[in-house]
Amino acid sequence: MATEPAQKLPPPPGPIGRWRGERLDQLAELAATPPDERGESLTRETLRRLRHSPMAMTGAAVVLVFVVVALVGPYVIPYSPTALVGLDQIRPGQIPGPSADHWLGLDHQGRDEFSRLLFGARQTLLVGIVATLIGFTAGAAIGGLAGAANALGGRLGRWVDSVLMRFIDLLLAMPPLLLAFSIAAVLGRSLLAVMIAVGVAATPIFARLLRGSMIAQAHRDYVLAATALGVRRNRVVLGHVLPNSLAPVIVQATLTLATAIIEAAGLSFLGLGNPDARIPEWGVMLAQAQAQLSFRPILAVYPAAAIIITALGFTLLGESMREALDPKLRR
Amino acid sequence: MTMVVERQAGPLLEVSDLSVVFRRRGQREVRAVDGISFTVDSGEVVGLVGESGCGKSVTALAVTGLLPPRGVEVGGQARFGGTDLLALDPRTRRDLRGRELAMVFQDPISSLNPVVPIGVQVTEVLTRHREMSLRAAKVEAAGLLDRVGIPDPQRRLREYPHQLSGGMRQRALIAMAVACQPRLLIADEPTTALDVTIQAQILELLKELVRELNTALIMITHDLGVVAGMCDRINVLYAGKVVESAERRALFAAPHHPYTVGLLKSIPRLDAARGEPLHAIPGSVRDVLPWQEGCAFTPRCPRRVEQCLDGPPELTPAADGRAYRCVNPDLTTGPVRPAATAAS
Amino acid sequence: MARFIVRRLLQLIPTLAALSVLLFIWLRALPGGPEAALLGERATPETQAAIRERLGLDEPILGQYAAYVRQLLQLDFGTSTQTRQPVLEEFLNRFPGTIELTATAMVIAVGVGIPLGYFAARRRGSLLDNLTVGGSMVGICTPIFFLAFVLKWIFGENLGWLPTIGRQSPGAGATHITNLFVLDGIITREWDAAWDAFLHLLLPGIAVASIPFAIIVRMTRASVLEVLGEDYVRTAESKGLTHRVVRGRHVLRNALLPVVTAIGVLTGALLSGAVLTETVFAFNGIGLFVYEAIRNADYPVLMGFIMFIAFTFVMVNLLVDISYSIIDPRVRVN
Repeated sequence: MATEPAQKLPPPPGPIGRWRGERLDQLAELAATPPDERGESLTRETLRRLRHSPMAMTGAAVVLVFVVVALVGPYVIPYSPTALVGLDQIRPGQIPGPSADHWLGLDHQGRDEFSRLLFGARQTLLVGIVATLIGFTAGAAIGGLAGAANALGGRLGRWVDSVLMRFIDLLLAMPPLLLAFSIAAVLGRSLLAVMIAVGVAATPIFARLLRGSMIAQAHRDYVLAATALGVRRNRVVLGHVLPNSLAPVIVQATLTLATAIIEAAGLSFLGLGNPDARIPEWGVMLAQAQAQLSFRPILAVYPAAAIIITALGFTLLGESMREALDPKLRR
Repeated sequence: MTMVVERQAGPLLEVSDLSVVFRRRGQREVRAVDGISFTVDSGEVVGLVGESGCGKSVTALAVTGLLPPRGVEVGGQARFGGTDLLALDPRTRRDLRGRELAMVFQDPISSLNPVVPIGVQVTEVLTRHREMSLRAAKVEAAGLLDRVGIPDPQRRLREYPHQLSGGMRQRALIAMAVACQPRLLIADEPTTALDVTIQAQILELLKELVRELNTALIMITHDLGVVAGMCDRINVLYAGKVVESAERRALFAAPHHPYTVGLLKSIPRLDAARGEPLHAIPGSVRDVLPWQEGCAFTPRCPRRVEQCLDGPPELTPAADGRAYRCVNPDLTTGPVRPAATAAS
Repeated sequence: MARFIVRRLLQLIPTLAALSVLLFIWLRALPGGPEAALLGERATPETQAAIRERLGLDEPILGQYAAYVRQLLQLDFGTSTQTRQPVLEEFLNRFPGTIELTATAMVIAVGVGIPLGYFAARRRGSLLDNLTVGGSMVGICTPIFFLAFVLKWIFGENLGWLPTIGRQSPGAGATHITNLFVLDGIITREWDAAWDAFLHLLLPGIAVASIPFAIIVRMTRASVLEVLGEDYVRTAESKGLTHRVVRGRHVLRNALLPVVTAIGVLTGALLSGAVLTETVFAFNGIGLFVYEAIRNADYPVLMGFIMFIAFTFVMVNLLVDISYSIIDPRVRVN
């Protein structure tokens, strides 16, 4: 309905009591305010919705705990993660369980499981963040180029766009562990190879996302309107297109952190990670625990649970952000 | 399994004190329909008029049982040929829908299934309700498309919605609605999404069909111009209540409720003086006062008085079977002239 | 339709060409050079000379690439450094196992995922819905090899319900024709053998299915929720159609469109899963072979595998595009 909000109400014809008069004035004022100004800003509303979502709060809490553990864990652990403190207690087919000294017991080499678990968080966070950054940077570069080429149009633009997207599709097809191996083969086995591999594996999603939203935004009415009003092109892109494309990227980055953690674990499991197997890393710990599965399965459960819970935390947070930002679910 | 609704004296549809409340977890409850009553006689064309958000579409969905099953509370009665539609079990209501009462919706492109040919979408009604074989249904469907004015029906039956023009899509939807010659047709803003040139054609088609099949029609619209041309009786809705109900001629001749006056004034007219500003009702439907506090229209009303806040006004009957819900009605006679009243 | 397929097949050529260039560069970037990589530890001066000759390593770089492409066109991916057999032959021997495994996984993922996603959407907010959403999230977050181990440990070693090693019980004495063991058993009417092979597929199948399953459930649910709010579903309801028609023709047919597309993208996840799972269950397919190849730096096998994955992926997506154009009339016209 095209109503004209600024239009003032005519004064009421009859006399009106004071309290009631105030109530009426208040309502009339409300009626004269354009609906948009009554609402909250997008960011504000999204944050409010996140605060009220138990899913988001659980996710955020898990992520927070994880980050804190990753940052301070190595300084507060009771034992060195590589010290064979309980070697004398290890017998074939028998590993001591939790005790006052060792809260989660010992691992197969007599190292303190609790210390290793805490220490491992840092490795995991490092791999997750670096891999996501690599994926985001590469994806943004490729996707941005393709999106720009597509928006420019013409034979060349379309060609560049389709070549880049074909390449992205191909990356999407490659299992990350194969990429990791290919990279490790050239660079040598290292944590860096794992990060690059997981990052490359995440590249296609970012590239598609950025290209898609750039193309969608470029054709939006508000961009057209801004351009038609003579707003300079840079300002349109920086002030309108970019902020609107950013939210899904942040969501995707959160979700990618989860996948990166899981994939890095898979690569460590296959023996493609850090060649120094003494450094605790959840994937390596899980792989090492498989040998003790028959008599101490819990040693596999600790790192697995750590991986699952952390990944779940990022996933919950990412998914609820996606939901909170979804205009279809608003109101 | 098929339930035959008795033909009997009295109105075909009698909606009394219908209320619909939406209750969603973690959200404020919304009273979309707040005690609406109206009747529709056999073969009669009745208009439900109001701004978007006034509850007119929700009324239609409640009567046909198309509201989402959860988070909604429906009260009151909707007697259709003697049986209360709201009390029927969902199965029986499903049997009635499409056969005895049918609907035409606003946006023809989104109201048609994009991945199913038009033909299937027409024949599925026939095979469901008229126990036709698929072969017979196809012949009948072609006849129906022809009747609603779609040229080359055989070809169109095989086509998909995106291959049809907007007007043709709406014609196809009308064909589906009248396929079983329902006794009541509900058209929810059937022309709003169409080009102006097509609008008149579609309205004309509806008028013809209704006369031909002796179907009653509930016309839901925000456009008084649409109802002016075809409705026998008009109910003006505001914030979930009927605020004025009158026979068409009487309503246009002398609207009593200030809201109706406002609606009539906001129709642009060719005979208005040059430079005359277009009239608009200030504010929007969101600025309602809860009915318990008084008349919901008060914040936007130019004729408000203190009594407006004395609680919900009653529906006051007046001459010629009309009624209005206002404590300070405009009882002057004579049609509303935007030019005359807007400049105060 | 034929033109569409031909055009898509032609588009395959530049993709594979680009890949061949990448692999060619990669092989030369390896420490020790291509001859060391291709021969492994057992290289002798004679074999090294032979391979230099075969790869044209003494020619200029373009000539080397030409020789490389010529080999690829002859489907010559070299010789595995582990088994000393041609890579292609090894693949063809092991491929059926992986087909069986991924097909089983896909059947599980689609067959359970779509109905579950549908019912979760229909009863949004119910216990079933919350369990489905929560479960699929945990599914996505569980490392597949850990799931494989848990399944093996619980259902195989502790409960003893299902076999956990290999593709068939040793000494089953089954006849092999296609090397798809279940199919072989059916063709030869050796029902016991077919059943036995089928049981061997279940646990690894579930493990491989976990991630595709979780993705399909979530996509189906989201898509059904969106379609349930569409006007045409309301139209269908207003016509009084039976539940069956509304569900099948109007809701699912539209809701499954994005799911079909997703199935194409899941190929990579399936093959990834196969490598990890086959390793845990000692299931003799390509995945296990590639795992061994990674451990032993068997470059010819890995190069072949990369080519093979690219090819499979493009073919699967071609199939997806074709089926999509059959389901969605709007694509057909354009």
